Amino acid sequence: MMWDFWSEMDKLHDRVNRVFHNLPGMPARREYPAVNIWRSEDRLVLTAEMPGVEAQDLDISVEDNLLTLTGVRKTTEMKEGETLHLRERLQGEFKRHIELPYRIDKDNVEAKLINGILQVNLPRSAEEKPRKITVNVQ
Amino acid sequence: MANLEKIRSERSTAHISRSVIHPDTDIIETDNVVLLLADVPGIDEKSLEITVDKNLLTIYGKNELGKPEGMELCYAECEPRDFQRMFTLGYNVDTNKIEAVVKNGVLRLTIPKTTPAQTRKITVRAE
Repeated sequence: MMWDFWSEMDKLHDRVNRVFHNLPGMPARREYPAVNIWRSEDRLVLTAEMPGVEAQDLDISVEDNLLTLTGVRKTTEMKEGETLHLRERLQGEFKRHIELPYRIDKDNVEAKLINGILQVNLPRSAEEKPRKITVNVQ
Repeated sequence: MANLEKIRSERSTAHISRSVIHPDTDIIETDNVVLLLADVPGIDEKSLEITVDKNLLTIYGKNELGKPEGMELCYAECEPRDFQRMFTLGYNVDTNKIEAVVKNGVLRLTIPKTTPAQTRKITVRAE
């Protein structure tokens, strides 16, 4: 079995570009997993792509305003006599810390993993919610 | 947001055309089958299209990065994008019996190999 030559050239090109984008002064190196963060008035939602990661192999912890994602992407198991033609999928352990703009109510953090996308619901801690300050007239 | 660069707001991404990337892929060959595993996060069986034209296999997946209801995007490292990749299959596989399963954002294609044709000896007659 052969894979498409031009597709592979494009891929290589992408990789070379990625190397140059990681030079100092360029945008920050991408860590695994890549995340998006969404906000509303009272909570944040973090979404991350992690195809092939099983829920039991993923650990999410929240401490004050620091979210930590720890997990493992399992290797595609190879038996004797099998031939590997291409291996691009990332595998192994990963750990990422994400600093959030405020403290999280860690008792009400919820997470779900659907089609390889993680979604973590992060409600803002009650004591951190914005307060209105009344100005007294003297 | 401290330590996190704000890339672009949700409003500005709406005008950017969708990009298409090659999914990371593993290919393993066993005695009977060729296994192809491709990372397609956000893709389910409905948003995936696999076609075989002669020996050209094409995978196309439309990525729907779930937008949480009533939320505004404030930090982004991954944009909504589609997955597409083409593979040229060898002639020793049976393209009519390809099986495809998608689970946890990983596409698994099982491509059965055909049994190699028996070598035949051709006797040369003298005339």
